[in-house]
Amino acid sequence: MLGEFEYALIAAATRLADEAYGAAIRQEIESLTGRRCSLGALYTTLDRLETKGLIKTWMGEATARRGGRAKRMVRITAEGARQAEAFYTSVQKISAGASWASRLAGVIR
Amino acid sequence: MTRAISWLVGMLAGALEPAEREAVLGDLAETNERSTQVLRDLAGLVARRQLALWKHWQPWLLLFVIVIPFGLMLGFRSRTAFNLSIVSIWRYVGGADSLLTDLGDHEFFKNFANIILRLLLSWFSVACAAWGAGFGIGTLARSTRVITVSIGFLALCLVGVVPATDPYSMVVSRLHLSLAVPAFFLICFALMPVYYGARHAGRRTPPSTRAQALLLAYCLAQAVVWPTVLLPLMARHSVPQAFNWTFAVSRCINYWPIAYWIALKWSAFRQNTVSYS
Repeated sequence: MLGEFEYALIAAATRLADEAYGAAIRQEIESLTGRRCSLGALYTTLDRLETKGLIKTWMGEATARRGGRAKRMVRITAEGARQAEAFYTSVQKISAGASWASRLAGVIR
Repeated sequence: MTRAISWLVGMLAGALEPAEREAVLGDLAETNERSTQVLRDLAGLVARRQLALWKHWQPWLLLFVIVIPFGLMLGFRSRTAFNLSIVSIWRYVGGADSLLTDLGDHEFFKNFANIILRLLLSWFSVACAAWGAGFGIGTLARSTRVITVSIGFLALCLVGVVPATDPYSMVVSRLHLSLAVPAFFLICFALMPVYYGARHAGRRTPPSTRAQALLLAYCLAQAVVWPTVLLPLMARHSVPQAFNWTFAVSRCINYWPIAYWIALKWSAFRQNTVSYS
């Protein structure tokens, strides 16, 4: 089963779709969770997920904003999406009946 | 970002694989974070990567069999060359009056120039060995070279600066030379060549397996054979006839970085000539 940060990374990459790469995923995680995402955690987790076959990465194009350096693009594999869904389902199941789950259900929607 | 921070970022990023370095430096440029934060982030990533590499046995084997002995050996050679230089100059200059009377101006300065030339050669020899060590270790321990070379530096400094009790060291210590002078010598002729050798190795594409095997043999010879076989023989001043050729060969091998640089420049020159024609 996925870890919490692994799930956050997969979810952020899914939201970003074709724009999913290192800096963008990091920014997405930080802005949505309100927690700092270190570069070390991001890149080692990307490697781990790729080894597990849950994501696929490749070097994308370079832009002037990045000082002419290439991006490491990320795409979620079918297995990655399946495992993220399994994680989300288990979080939902385990949270059912908890006071914050029913309170936040309406807020998040 | 200040120049010092940029240099530190470049040095830290050098420990990453080329593709990852490209992506990470691009991400850092894009986020516009504070310099200290950039440094902290990069140091964290490098530390994670290095820790993962040191879980395998190969870096440890290389460290204990080659890097530490090579560092100690270079420290010893650097200190010996420094002490010998100081003692030779001190003896010649100290006895200058009587030597001038005995030899005359011409012979005196000719001998002095000869001594200086031999000393310069010994310093150059230390620098060549140090560059070769940096290049060899940087190639063999490519991904772990930052930590590996740093530990090699520590071993080098340990022997190179700590006072010893051999006759030459005793003479040098009587001359009241502070720690700064041998340290300066050590930095210029040992530490800097090691650093530049390792940096050069990191910037080049990995050499062929045969070239790596040759480098391994060179490093093993310098780190293991020299201190365990040749140095004890030299210390006893009784080198058997059979070992004379070994000394001659090892002295020649010591200067391989010169041949390497000539080959490198020649290859670049040839490429330029071909592209212009």
